[in-house]
Amino acid sequence: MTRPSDEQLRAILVDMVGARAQAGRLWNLQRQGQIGTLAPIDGHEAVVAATAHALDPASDWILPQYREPLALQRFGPEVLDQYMLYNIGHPDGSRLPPSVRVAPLQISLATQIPHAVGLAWGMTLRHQPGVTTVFFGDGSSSEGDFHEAVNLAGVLRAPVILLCVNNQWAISTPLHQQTAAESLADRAVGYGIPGVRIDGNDAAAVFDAVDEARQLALGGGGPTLIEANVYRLGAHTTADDPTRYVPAEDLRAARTNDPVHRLVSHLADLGLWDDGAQAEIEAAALVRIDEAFERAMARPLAADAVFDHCFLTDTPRIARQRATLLAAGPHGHSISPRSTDE
Amino acid sequence: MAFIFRLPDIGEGLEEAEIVEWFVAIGDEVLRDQPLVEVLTDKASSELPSPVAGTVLLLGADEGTRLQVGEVLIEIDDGSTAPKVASEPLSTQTSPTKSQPPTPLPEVAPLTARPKAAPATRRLALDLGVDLTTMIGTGPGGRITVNDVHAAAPASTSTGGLSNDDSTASDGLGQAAAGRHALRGIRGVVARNMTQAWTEIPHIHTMDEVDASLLIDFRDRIRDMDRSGATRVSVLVVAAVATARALRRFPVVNGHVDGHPGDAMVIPEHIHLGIATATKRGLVVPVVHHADTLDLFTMADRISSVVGAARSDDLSAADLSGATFTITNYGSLGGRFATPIIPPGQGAILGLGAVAERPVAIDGEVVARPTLPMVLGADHRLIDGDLAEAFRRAVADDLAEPLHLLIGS
Ligand SMILES: Cc1ncc(C[n+]2csc(CCOP(=O)(O)OP(=O)(O)O)c2C)c(N)n1
Ligand SMILES: [Mg+2]
Repeated sequence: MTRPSDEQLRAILVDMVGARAQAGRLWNLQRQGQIGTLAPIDGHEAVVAATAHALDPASDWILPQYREPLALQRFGPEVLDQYMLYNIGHPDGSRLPPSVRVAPLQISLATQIPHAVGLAWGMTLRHQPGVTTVFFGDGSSSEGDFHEAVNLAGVLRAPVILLCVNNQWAISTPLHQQTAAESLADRAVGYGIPGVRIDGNDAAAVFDAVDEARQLALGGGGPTLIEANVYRLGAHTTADDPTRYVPAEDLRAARTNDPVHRLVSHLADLGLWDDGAQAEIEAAALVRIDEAFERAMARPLAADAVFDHCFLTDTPRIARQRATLLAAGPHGHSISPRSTDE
Repeated sequence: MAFIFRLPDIGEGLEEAEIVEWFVAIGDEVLRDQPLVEVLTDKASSELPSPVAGTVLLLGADEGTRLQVGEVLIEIDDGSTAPKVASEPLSTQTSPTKSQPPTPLPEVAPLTARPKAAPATRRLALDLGVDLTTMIGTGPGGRITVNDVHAAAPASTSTGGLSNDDSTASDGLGQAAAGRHALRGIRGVVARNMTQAWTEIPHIHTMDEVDASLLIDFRDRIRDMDRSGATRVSVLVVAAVATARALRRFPVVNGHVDGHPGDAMVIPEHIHLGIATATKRGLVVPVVHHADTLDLFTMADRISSVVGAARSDDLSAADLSGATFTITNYGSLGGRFATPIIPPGQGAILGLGAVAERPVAIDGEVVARPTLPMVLGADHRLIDGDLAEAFRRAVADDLAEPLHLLIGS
């Protein structure tokens, strides 16, 4: 058991509170038409931030799904910059960042799991230290990619932490329609690897489980499947209306277990947290996200950038479309939606 | 200088939104991120927060009207010197949910194509025996809506006779395998609400039968009228109109007790009627808002639309919230008297039994008359027997002589 120190817990909470504040700003930016669809982090703060603090940003990799970036501050400010580029639709938001070990978001469910296993195996082959940690949801655990990748990770003893954030929903599909199994962690048995089930709203428990899995992987013991149970406290995405399907009672009950409130009251009891500190942390987090947004908006974006990242050289069709778009002028509104070669 | 905020596409490929409510007026000072307006799209209702701080110069549309994405929503003087515009469409491609290609729908769906209707709507059509392949809907781009399906459905509920004609029986009644089953979904909600109501509210019930001869005659004559919505007028609909009238006369019956065991009584400003509806998934209570402002035909339309939506699982959160008084038409399942439970947050409930021919004594003679049994359940913390009976009788008098509905209450 590696309990995080009180200082570590406080550092985790700083990141969680910052993420919660930034999530509110992000939602408003979307509602103001300034950024695209996004998936709010609400309810996942403890599992993401505590995981980041149990890892070593200098040697370990994180492969997120799509809810995590705001709570990955510990890996560097570039994570937020990258995320805001992604949110405004800039292709650079989907690049592998040069300086931080955090992969871009994955929308295509579960595809990040084979990536993480391959990356971990590659690190072993190159005798590089470190582990990879991959986040995915309860819904993603039903994908073939999950099963194939976890099976291979077990065979290869790849140094990977498979972190399933079970938030009880996959859009509007509740967990009991996702699986007949009692626990997602039980799947580990079938792949010959350890599986643990933890309370993802308990930052200390998350830190402990991730630390243990990391030590195992670094020692050559291979992967661990961690099922962290939380509750999605917000909408699936900005395009979703959860009041149509999330029972209000269940949500109310989940709110009494809000990971941010839990750690705030724990640290306040220890005299390590107060409202004044929280207000400062929130204000600083809002400044950071506003600045990251400004930087993203200031990043040059060629009108035809949308064509740049599919093929090394344009296919004839893409070349024609690129020319049509550029001929239509800066806003490109005058082109007809369907050209003849569609 | 005016900051122009154009209606953004806040969903994925939305074309327009309805202005539900403005939270600000021209001349108001607003802060950044302060909610400005509630809009309703085909997906959900959402609050749009202000992109800037400043003074409101112009509102782009009235409440209840629709705006196209890209049209001016609001102009705000933010003190800057250069004109700025938010919500020029950005080329965002992020899409964690099912994203649909933004190809515009053809104006009218070709009849040979697969019908444009949501899965729930198709299911409803199947249940009601409506053929969608020959229909063009009233929704955007010819999309078929739940209301279209109900409108096209054979009027199976209007068979006349003495029934209350709102059958609410569901499939698989009373079926479950042996063993322990968690109470989930609607069953779980019903369980929690009923426990709270039964343990917190001291119920009293007053009941009687109304001579329904004139009521049945009134209903049947309305149904024969050549007027849209006429066939939807039922005993329940007339009772809903009469109830809304009586609630206006006795606002306390529209109220409820707040706090446990009871700190205050709350009298709502408006009258919103919950209509208890049995569905395949369990009991659902959709709400007809501002019921006291609706005439008979509008009431008929609204009840049939919310009940239809409840049965096809197509209700929005708003359709389910805000009831101040509930009517349960338990008689549609048969049964004469019942003791309905008051939903938490309300003070009374009206139950309607099955209309049937029963012996009635008139001037010393026993004659057969159609009668409507009715029950009022009331929260005794709020309502004593005298008020309960006065209220029940106010409704009963309108039902016994529907001409009362023409006379101001
Ligand atoms: C391969 C694939 N299938 C379907 C989708 C549509 N989709 C987007 S998010 C989502 C639910 C994912 O649920 P879960 O993995 O539990 O993550 P959560 O959103 O709950 O964090 C689905 C089905 C997708 N993006 N990719
Ligand atoms: Mg999930």
